[in-house]
Amino acid sequence: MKKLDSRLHGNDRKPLFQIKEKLASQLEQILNYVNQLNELDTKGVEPTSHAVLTENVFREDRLFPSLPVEAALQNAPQQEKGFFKVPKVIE
Amino acid sequence: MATKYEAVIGLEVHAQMLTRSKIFCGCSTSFGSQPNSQTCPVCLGMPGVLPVLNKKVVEFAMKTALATHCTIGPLNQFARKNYFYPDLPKGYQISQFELPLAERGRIEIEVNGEGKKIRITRIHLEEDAGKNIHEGIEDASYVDLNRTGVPLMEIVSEPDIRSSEEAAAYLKKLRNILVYLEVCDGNLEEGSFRCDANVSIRPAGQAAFGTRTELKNINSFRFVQKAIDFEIKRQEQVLEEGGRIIQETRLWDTQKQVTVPMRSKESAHDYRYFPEPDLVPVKISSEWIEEIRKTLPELPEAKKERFVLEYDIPPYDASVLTQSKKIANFFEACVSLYHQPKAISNWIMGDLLNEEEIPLSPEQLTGMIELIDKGVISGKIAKTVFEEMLKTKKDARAIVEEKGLLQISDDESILSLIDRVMKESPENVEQYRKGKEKLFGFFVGQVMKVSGGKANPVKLNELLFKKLKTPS
Ligand SMILES: [Zn+2]
Repeated sequence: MKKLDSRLHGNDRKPLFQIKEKLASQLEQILNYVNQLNELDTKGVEPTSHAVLTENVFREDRLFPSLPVEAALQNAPQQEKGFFKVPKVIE
Repeated sequence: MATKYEAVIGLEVHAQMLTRSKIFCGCSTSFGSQPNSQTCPVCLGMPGVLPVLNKKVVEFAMKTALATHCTIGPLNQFARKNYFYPDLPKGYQISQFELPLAERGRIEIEVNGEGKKIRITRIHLEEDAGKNIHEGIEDASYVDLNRTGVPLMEIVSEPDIRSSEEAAAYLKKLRNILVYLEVCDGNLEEGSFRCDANVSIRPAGQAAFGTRTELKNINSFRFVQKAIDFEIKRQEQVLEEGGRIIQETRLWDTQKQVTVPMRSKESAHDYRYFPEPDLVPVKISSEWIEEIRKTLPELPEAKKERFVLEYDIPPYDASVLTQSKKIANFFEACVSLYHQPKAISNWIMGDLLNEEEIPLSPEQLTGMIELIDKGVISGKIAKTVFEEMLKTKKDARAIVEEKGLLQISDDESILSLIDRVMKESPENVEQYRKGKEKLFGFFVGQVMKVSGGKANPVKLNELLFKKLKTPS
């Protein structure tokens, strides 16, 4: 809460208690809204894992040119001898 | 009295599938290329890219599922398995969790002549991770992402295995099936067939499982057996000394021949699996399954039975010959050239089983067997001809002619050899004629020796007998 207090101070000049009250009521609205979902009967409804209702999207087993090694390593913070270089990991 | 323990073993196999391209992108899967030369934005895990599933991967896994009597799930889903390691650029591995490709199958194995069914829990699809390199680098590790996104099948067995021999038999059988199906090359050394073993022990007769350890890093059938045997002994010793088994991952140390605990805190992972939103579900219809079933080749079991019926060879021969598709095909190619299945089987089982590549052609082998059957060369000389064929790649007949290895079958030549031997040891001839018939073997051996192993043994016996019986 301390962290939040200091942040709110920096961005907004309204008295702190007013802001807290406003946020509290907004949060409550959100929670109430989400709680409405609990009233729905979801028995027998499959969990949604995808927003689009398609299935069986495939590609054929064909080769497509890969990136040149330099391009593949371009974003690496460190590279050496054609490898990504990372802090020592021990197995 | 020490408690008698029983081992309980479950195996997880990661099989790399023989596709040309990776599971979700068009990068090549070939082994041994320049590091990081087979990557693209998809397998590097760049933001905003979309993986698209390689259809062949699904078909290969379906074939495997059918060959191992699994039930293929009508709805497949991919899931993200989250963990952090430098060989995993996305921070998660795309795998399958709740809805795997197939479940509840079995593989039949045979150990010491006894058959046993090992149940398969599930088969699921996933992508491989990259490769970390630690050796010879100070204060850093290298990462090669060529392998990232290579398609894998994870095949998980139930804990039905009770010994290291059963474990090895299961792995050989599974590998054989995958190679027959042409979905995996089964190469343990190159890592296209990898095995982890879950091992626990319990007092014989107890139903509850003991605490298990997971053995990783075993890259040969021999090591699998050794690592499991070592681990069983180690656990027995811990329990006998009043200790308890810690659930942990252990590595097989090839050099020291022991299992050692893995140093990283790998064991207590929460992978936070959730459905992969970037990949749509895969629905597998019964029509699709039937289509795949039609493409299944003859599997080892069926081939073995057919060999017994069709070629009239002993079941043992059939089972040895069908343990490798390469050998089975070679055998059939030989039989189609020269129909002496048992003789061909004997030569293959005796001299060709341990070869990586079959070092001679079906024509060469059958050509040689034909020469034996026709009495052109003796069985003993055939060994020499065989060795020479491997060395020179020439045909048996050419070698026989060049080296003068023709069997001596004409009466006259054999008789002259017999005469020579009889003249050299007149006292033995006398002894024989006085009734010391055991000496017959001595004469056979001597004549063979002077003939350079080329005398026709049947003819020799016949003529020698006559000659010794008729006093000169
Ligand atoms: Zn790629």
